Amino acid sequence: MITMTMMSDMLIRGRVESRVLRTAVARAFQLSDDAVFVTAADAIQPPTAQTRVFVVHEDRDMPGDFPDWYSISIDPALEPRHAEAMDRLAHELSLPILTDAPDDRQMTLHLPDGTGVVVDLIQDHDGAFVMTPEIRRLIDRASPRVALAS
Amino acid sequence: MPPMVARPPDPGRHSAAHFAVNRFIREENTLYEAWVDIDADIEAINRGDGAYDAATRRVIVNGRTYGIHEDGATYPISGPGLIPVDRATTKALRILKQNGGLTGATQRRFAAEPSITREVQEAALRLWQMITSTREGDAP
Repeated sequence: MITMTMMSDMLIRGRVESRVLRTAVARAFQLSDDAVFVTAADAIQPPTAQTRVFVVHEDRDMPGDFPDWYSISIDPALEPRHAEAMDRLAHELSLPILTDAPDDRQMTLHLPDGTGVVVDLIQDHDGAFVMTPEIRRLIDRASPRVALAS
Repeated sequence: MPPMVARPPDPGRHSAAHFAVNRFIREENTLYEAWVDIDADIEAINRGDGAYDAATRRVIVNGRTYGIHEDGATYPISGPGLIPVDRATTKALRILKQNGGLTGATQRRFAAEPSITREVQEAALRLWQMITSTREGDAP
């Protein structure tokens, strides 16, 4: 049995197909797709011998603005790469992602432009993370714009 | 005495008896056991009975240390009836609660999760047994 380190939960602002997520996670950690295993909590499958990043889809209907909830466990050797990988993952998916932050009442917001910023964000009693106007502005500024033909 | 009015910790995150399964798992967390009279501790803090350290915004009352956020929300840190839990143990506890204990679904999940080692399972099961066998108000 492989032993891994559980890292921060991950909440994505948007829905992502498992195979798309697998490829994006692999790129974010600079691994091959075979090293990433994505599975659903309610039909969980164990990792393979090649797995170095194990992603479990915990829930797709979290209340609030970040409905897709995942947990991630990684090969301990990858821990130094984790924070940077989360920034890259938001870039790969072009979607904002929330992970843990050192302070109890803050979260790290990984933005689609590949940067990460620590924001004040408290989980409501029903489990919702609801964006503040400041977070909305940060996401708008960091999101790719579709060029409009004139 | 803290300059703000202290409020009880979020039970969804900190109560061993009432933690919520959809709470975001933090790197560090502390649960309080059901027998701990949280309301009495908070009342004591607000009466000025605790030893408050303004530098760390921590207060010790009835042998327990709490942190206090700027808005008065408290969080348990250490002391009698307070249990620090790491991410993997929190996750294992969440799975136990989601499945109503050590069911087949729990065992399948434990077997598949590479972060839930045998030691983590044992620690979570000990906590789960303590949580489910202790009623509020019971002395330890």
